[in-house]
Amino acid sequence: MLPQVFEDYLNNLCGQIRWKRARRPVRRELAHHLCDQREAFLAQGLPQQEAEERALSEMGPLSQIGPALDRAWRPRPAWGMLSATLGLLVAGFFLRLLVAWLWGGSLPVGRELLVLAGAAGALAAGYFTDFTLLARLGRVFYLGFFALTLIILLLGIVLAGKSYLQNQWLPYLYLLLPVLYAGFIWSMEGTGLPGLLACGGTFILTAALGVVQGGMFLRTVFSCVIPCLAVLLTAIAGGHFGRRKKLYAAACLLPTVLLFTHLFIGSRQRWAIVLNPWLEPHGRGYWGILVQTVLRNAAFVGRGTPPGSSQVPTDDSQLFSLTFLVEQTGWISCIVILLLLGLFFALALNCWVKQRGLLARMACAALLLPLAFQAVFGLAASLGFTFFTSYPIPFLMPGTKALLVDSFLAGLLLSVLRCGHLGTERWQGSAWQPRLLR
Amino acid sequence: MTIDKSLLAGSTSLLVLRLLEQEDMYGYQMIETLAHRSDQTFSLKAGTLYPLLKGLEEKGMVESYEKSADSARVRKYYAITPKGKKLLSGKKEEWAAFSAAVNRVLEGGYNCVATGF
Repeated sequence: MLPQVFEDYLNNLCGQIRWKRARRPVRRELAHHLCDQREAFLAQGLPQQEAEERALSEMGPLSQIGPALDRAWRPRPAWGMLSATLGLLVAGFFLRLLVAWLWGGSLPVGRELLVLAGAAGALAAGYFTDFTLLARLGRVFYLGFFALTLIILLLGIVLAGKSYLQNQWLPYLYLLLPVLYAGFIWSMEGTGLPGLLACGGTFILTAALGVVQGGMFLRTVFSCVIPCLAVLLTAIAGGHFGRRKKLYAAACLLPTVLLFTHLFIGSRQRWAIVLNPWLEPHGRGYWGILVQTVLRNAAFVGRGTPPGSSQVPTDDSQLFSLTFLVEQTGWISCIVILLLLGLFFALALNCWVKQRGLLARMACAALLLPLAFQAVFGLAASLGFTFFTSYPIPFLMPGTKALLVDSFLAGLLLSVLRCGHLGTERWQGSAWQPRLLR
Repeated sequence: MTIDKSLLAGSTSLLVLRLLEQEDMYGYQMIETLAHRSDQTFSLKAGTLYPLLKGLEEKGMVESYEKSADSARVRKYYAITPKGKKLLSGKKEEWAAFSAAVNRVLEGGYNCVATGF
């Protein structure tokens, strides 16, 4: 409990810091400083009141320290990443219009403007979300997500006789799982092997809910399991669970390696067909052959030969939009998309490696990897390597649900890059204990 | 003797990094240690130290972590990074050259001594 004079001083001081999110960590550190100084004066034999007054005078004048702290604590927007993300959204707007026009001869400008506005809203919502909420409410968010998944899976959400958030939303909601999982892991700080096992157990339960959805198995594995594993390994490497890093890493890598070995051995035939669809031309290789035939006849610029013989699969127009675009406009469109995505991911990777706070590094992994997997598998499907029913290429190709979720993820990523330096402290207590017990 | 504070300007980060090179410290501890080691010559104010530490942390010269001091208090400790050690080494050389030059001038100047001017 701080004396009132300290409270007043800190209120006046921190009130001068314009970035409100920074006030709490600054206030906490300076409060400890004032208490240390007061105790030193008390030890010298000064009375309580004088010790408090001397401690305040030792801090320096408010008129100097306030502006100095305000200058030091500023959000650091990642302007390059922000520009690249906005550029992707705008490019996606025009590309989707182009696809719609080439596909059906219409220009759904109004609809695409609405989609763009929704994506911009989701981006802004993520950007202005305080990512340190993950640290404070990690368990609540994660368990809430688990409960929501269960409800959607079993019932869907019915309001006024209309069903919302049905099962088709689940694959997109699962893209949020890694970042929520990062918050859950953060709440297990210093809990050692029991905490790690709790993280593993709850994750298996949540991932299993996604896996039981038809057709979501591989998609869940690649877009959720691998990013979540990366987040967990980042936490272990940062000493989050304790000092026995090798043991903890082995405890989570061993079951994962076994799972993936089983997965790849069990579906060898499937991978072989993905790489060479001619092995099963009338079965699982059918789509791959169609796509590869179209691409083989595509020009570098302009419509491919023979013209007018579109064979792009129409069963899943979102997944093969890029194939269709290449057929109609040439490989140049694919190159432009690759350059745009390459720039975005290069900038994001650069910002990620610069993060020094453990929570920020975990959050970056959790946000960036799902986007990266979507891009890789979306591009692979467009080029005729259909590993599984993937998500559309992020930001650029048709698919409103994916676009909204991806924009929110990108906004959160920008929020982490902007404010990541707030959460740089790591716990090194003499005895490892959960954050909630402190 | 009263020391002109402007003499300290620009060297504060050198002093702070040198302190952290020896051991991890929290803010108050740095101020106390600096005052003690300089025989109360350098009395750094919190208003100078904390913005400086934040700046060094932003540049990757130091990193911070929290450690329990007692049951009620969790202190924020600062530790020097390899990048900070490299900067410190450079600043030490810079300071040695600077102070040697100042001393030479105060003592009459190198050329004066060598050439008799």
